[in-house]
Formats: sequence, structure tokens, C-alpha cells
Amino acid sequence: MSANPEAARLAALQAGDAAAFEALVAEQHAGLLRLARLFLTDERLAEEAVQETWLAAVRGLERFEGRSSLKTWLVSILMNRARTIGKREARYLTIDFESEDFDDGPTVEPTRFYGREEEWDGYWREYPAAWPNQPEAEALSGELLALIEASIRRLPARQRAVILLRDMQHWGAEEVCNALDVSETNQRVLLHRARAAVRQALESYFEEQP
Amino acid sequence: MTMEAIRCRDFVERVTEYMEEAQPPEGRAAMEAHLAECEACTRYLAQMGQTVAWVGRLPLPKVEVAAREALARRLRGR
Ligand SMILES: [Zn+2]
Repeated sequence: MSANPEAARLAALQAGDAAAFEALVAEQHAGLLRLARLFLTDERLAEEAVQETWLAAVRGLERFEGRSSLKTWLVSILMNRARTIGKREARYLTIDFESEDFDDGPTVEPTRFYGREEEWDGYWREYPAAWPNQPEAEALSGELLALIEASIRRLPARQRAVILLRDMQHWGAEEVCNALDVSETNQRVLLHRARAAVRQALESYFEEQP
Repeated sequence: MTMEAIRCRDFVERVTEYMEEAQPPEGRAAMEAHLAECEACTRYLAQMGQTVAWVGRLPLPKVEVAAREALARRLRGR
């Protein structure tokens, strides 16, 4: 990716160009709001975090050197705002930012594989059940969407942020490392744990279907 | 050539490295060798891919155009 379009955009924003502000807000606002809602359960507080993020970004524009992209910069500001608001109104915070998310246990229940003493040690006892066919073009049911969203809400903070940015907002790994200030390896571990948890939630859901 | 043999229990924990293409060539070859002989892990990998695709289809929140424009105006006025 060339740095030039970003540099041109930054210059336009710093000059107070109306179209540049409208384009940036149109592009990033909904994504920031979705991220904020994952961390703050109260809609008013989520909105407040996003508004404060925009204001802080505008105040910081002069000093912004473009070493990271604008969108990763916005997200790192938002994470700080959410943390601050969460300290003030802890009951609306869905996460503990200081908690450790790198639990290193297995992501698939160990009993699903044959044990150490058995002939097929380490192989599946039973295949994971096949999922119903879901044509690509078909809209996902509201029930399925709600289930996926709920499973993401149950994830620890950083796992949730990583799966949101990677798989919901389609950011690259490096952008996520920059925005969340995590190493490449940790980013991948967080993504792995998050995806495995959502897959498991889907599996359990399909198992319960008649 | 000796290649590390992977069992399903290890495969499922390395599946994201595989999907992210973040393994050295030997590691990737070992994953592929396992996939070639294991239908269950082939299914697991496909379900992880399906999971990623579905998460990617969660809708963005709706933001009123008027609210967005008002915000942009307010920011520019700072
Ligand atoms: Zn296997």
C-alpha cells in the first residue's frame, strides 16, 4: 500500500477540508461504534466513547505524523477512551482490560481425542459433526447472527478486539498489531482462540437443532 | 526426508497458523500431509473457514446520514 493517498488525505484533514472529514466519518464511524459497543454495554457510553475519539483525533491531527494509518490510530484512541470510561462506569464495562487473555489451554475439549494410553492417541474419537449446508448467497438467519455475536461478546477483551478487527472489519494482521499494540504471535494466538470459540458455539448450536 | 507427524489434537491448535500461512515450509507440509489422510481435520479446517466467513457477514451498525454529516461538520469546525 502506498503512503501517498494517506498523506494526501491527512493534509486535506489538517487543512480542514470538508469533503475529507465527511469521507473519513462515513468510512470509519460505524466500525468504531461497533467496536465501542463490544466494550461498553450502555449505548450512550459507547456513543460517548466514539464522539470523544473523534474529538481527540481532531485535536491530535496537527501532531499526527502518519506513522500508523488513520484507522489504526483512531482505534487505538478508542481503546483508550473505552478504558477510561470503563473505569468511571465500571458496571457498563464488559471486560477487564488488565485481565490476561493468553490462557494457553487447548481450544478443543481434550476428551474429544483418544488419550495417551490409547492406541489412537491424539486422533478424534468422533468426527466433528457436519454442519447444514448454507448457500453462500443466502442471508444468514437472524438467529445465527445473534448467536455468533453473543459468542463474540463472551470472549476476553483482546480476543474480542482481534476477531472484530480481523474478521468483521477485514483488517490485515499488521494493522491489528499496530492498533492494539500486540506482537504478531500474540495477535495470531488471540485470533485463534477467538475463532475456535465461535466455531465451538456454532457446533453446539447446530447440535441442538432438530 | 523425515517429517514430523501431526495428530488431530495438534492440528486443531495450529489451524490458524495454517490459515494465516504463518508456518515454515516443513510445518506447512506436515499440516498438508495430515489433511491428506484425515477427513475429520479437513472438516474442522473447513468449519473454521466457514466461521470466519460468517463472522465477516455480521452487519455494521446503521448510522443516520444526517448524524454522520453533523458529526463531520462539528469536527471540521474545531
Ligand atoms: Zn486429524
